[in-house]
Amino acid sequence: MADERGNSIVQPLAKVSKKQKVYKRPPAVEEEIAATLVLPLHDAFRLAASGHTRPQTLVYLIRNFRPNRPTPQYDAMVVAFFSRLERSGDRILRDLPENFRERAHTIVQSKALELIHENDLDIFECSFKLGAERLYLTARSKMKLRVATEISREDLAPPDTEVSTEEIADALAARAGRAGMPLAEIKAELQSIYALLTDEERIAVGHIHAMGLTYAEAAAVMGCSDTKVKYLIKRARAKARETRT
Amino acid sequence: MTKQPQSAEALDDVLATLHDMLEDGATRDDVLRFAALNPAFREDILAFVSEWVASEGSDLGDEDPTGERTARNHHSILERFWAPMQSHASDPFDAMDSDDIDRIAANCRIDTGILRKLCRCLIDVDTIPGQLLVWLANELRSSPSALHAFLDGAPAAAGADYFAPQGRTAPGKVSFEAAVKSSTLDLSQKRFWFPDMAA
Repeated sequence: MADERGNSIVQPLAKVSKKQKVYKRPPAVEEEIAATLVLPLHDAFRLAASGHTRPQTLVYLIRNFRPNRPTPQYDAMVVAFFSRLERSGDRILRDLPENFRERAHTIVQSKALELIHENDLDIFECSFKLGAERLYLTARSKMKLRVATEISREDLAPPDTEVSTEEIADALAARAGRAGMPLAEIKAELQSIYALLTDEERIAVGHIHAMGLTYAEAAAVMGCSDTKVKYLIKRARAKARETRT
Repeated sequence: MTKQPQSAEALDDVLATLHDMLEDGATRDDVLRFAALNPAFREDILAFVSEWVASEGSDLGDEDPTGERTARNHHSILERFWAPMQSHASDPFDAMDSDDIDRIAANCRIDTGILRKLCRCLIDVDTIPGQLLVWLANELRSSPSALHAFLDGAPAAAGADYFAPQGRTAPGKVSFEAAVKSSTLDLSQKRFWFPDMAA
């Protein structure tokens, strides 16, 4: 939909972006926003709050038509935003204990409120899913959950049995990719074995195979000993081998 | 790894940039270069990458309905949402030149009477179609959000009210539909806004 001079009535995102990155809404989202703008605002608010529009349209209305005081229709949209945000984080947090999930949701809520107040929600109008993933992954990485308990001594590989990079590469090569390969592709390949791995094993594989860190470097980031990292990689290797046989 | 509070926002910006890089196809060398450029956040960067690589991501796509669930603590969220709000909306009509009134009204497909009511906040903003707010904000070189905040304010009393025997009165707001109905727009123009409007 265009105005009298043929310009789109939906404002481009670049106008309000604080970052260098210029986000662009998908065409279907632009069309939906334009169609929503034809309605009286209270009807548009009701539609968006009840989930009858895409979440990007909901974000557009929250950003552009904020009243001076709380109103039931607008507040319903705000609650809908946070409800969707919380639901978006479920799978990302599902392996965490309940208290850590609670903490992560709280961190994400606070950050989202900050972004709303700074009108820095471009990514959410581009892709709500991507915006939610960013907040939850950031919360996870900040929580430093890798400062976990060390494994018991009997579970550790004997100190003299070094797991060579070649051995690991042998087991994971088909999935782990090579240097120069986009990490997104490596991630996609590793997804096939992730269901078999624990969270710690996945993190260790990410550090060692995706990023090419040494055990000592990975251990420093994970907040554990390099022996534990070797142990995690060894277990991941065994599981990866099982999937190949 | 302990950061100063003022660096928390910088870290978030760094991780946001990193996330964009990863989604756009960064290699491990790209990430290591990025970490070298941000040495204070190296461990945070690597921790984020490992979480990103290890994550299956959200299972809620942009086309999927949210479902019935309501966010936990939503009352607290709303309190925090409104807490920093300060109602000092500036008047976007201040910059309007009186010579431009007819042109602005025509470009926004309304008449000058409706425009005058808008200037005085006499129309209930929730009943106005969003596209009128977008068009008018463009004409006023303002933003829809600033215009909306202004129009949501208290209606302006006419000057004559000061001298009325009953004292100053606060005029009520009318719906946009009522404003269109009582306007000088012809029927086809009225039906642009309300297709079912009777002749």
